[in-house]
Amino acid sequence: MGDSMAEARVISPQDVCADVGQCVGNAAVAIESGWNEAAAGIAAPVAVARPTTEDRVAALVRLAAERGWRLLPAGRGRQLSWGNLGQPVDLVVSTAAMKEVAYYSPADLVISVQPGMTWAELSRVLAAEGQMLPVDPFVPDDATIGGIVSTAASGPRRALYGALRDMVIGLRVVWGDGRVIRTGGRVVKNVAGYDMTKLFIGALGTLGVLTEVTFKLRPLPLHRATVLLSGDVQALRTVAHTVMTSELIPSRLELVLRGDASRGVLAIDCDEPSGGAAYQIQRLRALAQEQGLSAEVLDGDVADNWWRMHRASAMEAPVCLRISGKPTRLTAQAAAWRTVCAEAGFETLWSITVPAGMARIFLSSTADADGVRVRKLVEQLRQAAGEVGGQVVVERAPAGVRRGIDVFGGLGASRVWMEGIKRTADPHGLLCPGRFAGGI
Amino acid sequence: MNQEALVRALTEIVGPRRILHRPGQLAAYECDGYVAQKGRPRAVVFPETTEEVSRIVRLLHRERIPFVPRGAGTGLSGGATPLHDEVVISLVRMNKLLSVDYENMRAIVQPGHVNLTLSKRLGPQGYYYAPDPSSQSVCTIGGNLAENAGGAHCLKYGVTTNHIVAAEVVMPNGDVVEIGAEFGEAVGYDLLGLIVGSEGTLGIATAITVRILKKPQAVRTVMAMFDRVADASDTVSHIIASGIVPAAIEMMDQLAMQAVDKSNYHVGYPRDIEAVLLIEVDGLEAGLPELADRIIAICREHRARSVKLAESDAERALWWSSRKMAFGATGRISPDYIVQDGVIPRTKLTEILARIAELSEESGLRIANVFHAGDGNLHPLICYDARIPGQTEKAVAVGSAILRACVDVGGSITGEHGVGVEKLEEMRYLFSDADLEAQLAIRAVFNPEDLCNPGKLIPRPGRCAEVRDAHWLAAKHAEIAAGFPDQTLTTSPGAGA
Ligand SMILES: Cc1cc2nc3c(=O)[nH]c(=O)nc-3n(C[C@H](O)[C@H](O)[C@H](O)COP(=O)(O)OP(=O)(O)OC[C@H]3O[C@@H](n4cnc5c(N)ncnc54)[C@H](O)[C@@H]3O)c2cc1C
Repeated sequence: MGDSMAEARVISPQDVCADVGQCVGNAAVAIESGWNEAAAGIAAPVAVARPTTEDRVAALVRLAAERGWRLLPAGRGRQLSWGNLGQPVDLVVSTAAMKEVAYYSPADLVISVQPGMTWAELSRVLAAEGQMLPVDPFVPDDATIGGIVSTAASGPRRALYGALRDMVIGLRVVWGDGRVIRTGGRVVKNVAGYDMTKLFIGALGTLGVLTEVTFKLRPLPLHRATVLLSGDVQALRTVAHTVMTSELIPSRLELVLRGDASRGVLAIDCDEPSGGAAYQIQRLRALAQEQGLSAEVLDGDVADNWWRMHRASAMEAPVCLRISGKPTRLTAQAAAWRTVCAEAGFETLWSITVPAGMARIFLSSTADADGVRVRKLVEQLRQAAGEVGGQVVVERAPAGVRRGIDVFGGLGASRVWMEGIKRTADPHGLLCPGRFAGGI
Repeated sequence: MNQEALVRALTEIVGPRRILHRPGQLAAYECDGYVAQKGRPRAVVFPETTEEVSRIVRLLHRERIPFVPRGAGTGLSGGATPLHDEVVISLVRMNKLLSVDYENMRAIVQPGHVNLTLSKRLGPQGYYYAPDPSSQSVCTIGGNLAENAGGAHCLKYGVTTNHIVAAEVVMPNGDVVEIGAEFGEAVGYDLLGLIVGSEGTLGIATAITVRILKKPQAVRTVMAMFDRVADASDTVSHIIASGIVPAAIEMMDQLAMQAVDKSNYHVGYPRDIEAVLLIEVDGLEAGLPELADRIIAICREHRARSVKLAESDAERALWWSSRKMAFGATGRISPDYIVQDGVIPRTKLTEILARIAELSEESGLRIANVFHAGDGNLHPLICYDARIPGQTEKAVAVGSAILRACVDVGGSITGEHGVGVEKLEEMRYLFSDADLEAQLAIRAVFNPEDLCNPGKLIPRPGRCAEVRDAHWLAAKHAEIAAGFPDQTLTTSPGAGA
């Protein structure tokens, strides 16, 4: 859809660059390749502005609105492989240079940061005060907070701590017409007005440019342990569901499977105080023994390291698919779906966040530049998962793979309301059109 | 459409026994738990199915007649109060538990299902529904969704929005839409997140899917009494900073203690302490002694006069009942009272309490303080006597001043009771005109003619003085104000029709 539009347009990156330079200074703008390639699947160099203040962001958005430029809000470009291929844009507004802590009150467990701060940096700032943002998304360490929030990225910790929508309590955001809006606040409980914050989480930049994000935090656990159970997949499945509905408190309950082998690993975290952790570990060992599984216990840094390695190997895969559905069905169907993947010729790593009902499939081997085989696989999985009420989303994939497919699988009857929201926040339709679900 | 035709059309949908329309029948629906403003509805209907709700809404939408969804009517900000000649759509007959999936930890209820009933139904299997507003024995999950209700245990477990995963909603035009996702991430903008807490202005929830949790294996409840309020506040901050996430930290001051001790749940608080803290930790039995010990040590460090661990379930239940009775019990120490609902950063507790004490002194009105201290959510109870001329106005003004003080220290004007009509004016203190316009623009997407619970939640930008005057007028001449649609809150096309 974007291609024909692009031909009809006569906006040159040089012209944009010149105008933007006048607005934010020449040092804060450059013409770069890679952005449109990744986000729109088109080789088109584009002006990239890196404003340092919210005012400048707003000025840029107003300028874009005046000129009718399509605009991509972005961070460091680490998650451009998420979402649909949009129309090519005329200006990238990267908030990568806005990376300060705007407000941090450790005693209140609340922090506001600018969106360009990286996830790794945020974790470091918080750890220094014995705190954390309990998300562990499958993104690179140097992905920005703005990007993570805009993609609603999540990971295994969702099992206990919930998703970003449960942690973001306020935002500042520039709407598509340049107005600056504040949503929520800096207190952990707040029902004043509509909870507009939620709209921007996972909106892929289609509703505005984030300029500040406020999170509620958790203290770092007093004690950390991970129990790894390995062995037969059926036995792991039994243990996973037993644990989920037991008195135990797994802060991660991740079923990790490779290829289509019949063996796997169930990784169970415990963030409870040491007495509780000792009890939980003992219970898990007993369950493992009952089911003929082997058990290994990792503590503290060693445990963290295991998870880091797991994430790193997942990140090597160029494609991530996500299936959501009832946990019992997901784990029951996994074997069949793994066969589908294997038959399609893909090597896979599965990471199933059991309590959340989310399975991520990382596809490693893709000598499939044009994506035909991945798209076929997605179709097959949609068919298979759909039969048991599951939903398949392409979480991230190279542009070639996303061409000619709705990575979200389409919107239902709520579409008209979503279009209404889009028109309200972005009246000129300039914020990366086409990137969102249903081509919004 | 005149009244007669309307009643006929509604009767066609719900039958003759599920509609009230004679003046004498409507008094109970003139307001919710916020009694300062009242209005007479045109009629009240009691649908039993989604389809009936949809047909009712379609009819009213077509005829441009405003309507208000209503649960148990326990709201404390006037959210369910008809001020524009609305039809009240009561959801109390849609009270079924539709399904439970224990293995996958989800339940689906109709909106009129009472909060506590759900936990009672799940209890025998070892499960419960976490959000626990003090009104949980009567309020509905539909009302909880609309208010994004909180409760004492939300400190650890989160508020309603963290527990509702999907809903079937009848939109303001009558369309039925499924939003959210039972599991994983819903595709598209987070409409569910927006509708939770929207106070019935963006649609009517007709089926609600919630997360259910396994009951914690064990609980420890600590009661600590303090000579000085400041010591109690410091204890709260210290506990939070120490890396412990208690399930709840509740606080009451002396006046609140006196009130609850007059209720059926007599704890026998000493008359010479300034504050009491109720602190609860839960989780795995084996982990709790170390947490409880740590908490007790922190209380002692801050000069608690006494610290006690609940010795039995009965004792724990007494302490909680005493706390949860606080609003009602205030009626025993004062003929009238206003419940406020401010939020502050938890570290500002001492500061705000000093300010509240000042306001109490200045106004000569007693103020009892009860709050969810762990998350900085205050419920000052402003005592007054409506029979004494000027006291009502004074109480309203003190309430407003407290909320302003909360905003001044970086807080909010409501943590769980909602804006409704009560706090419309205070919204301006918290948000700029641009922010409010943005919120109105979002409402207009769903409810462009403001027929669905008109005039609630968001004030019109830039009409500050006008509303202030009207507010005073309403307070002074409540019975007169009830007689005409409140033009200052919004211009509702349906009003007065
Ligand atoms: C003694 C007492 C203690 C309280 N304690 C707490 C507390 O601890 N925490 C707390 O959060 N609140 C508390 N409340 C306030 C109140 O109980 C909550 O706001 C509750 O969620 C309201 O539920 P309800 O069923 O009574 O709703 P109602 O009062 O009938 O309605 C509330 C709002 O929801 C809308 N609504 C109702 N049903 C629907 C539906 N199905 N779809 C869309 N909109 C709907 C109405 O239009 C209205 O705007 C307390 C109230 C009292 C009287």
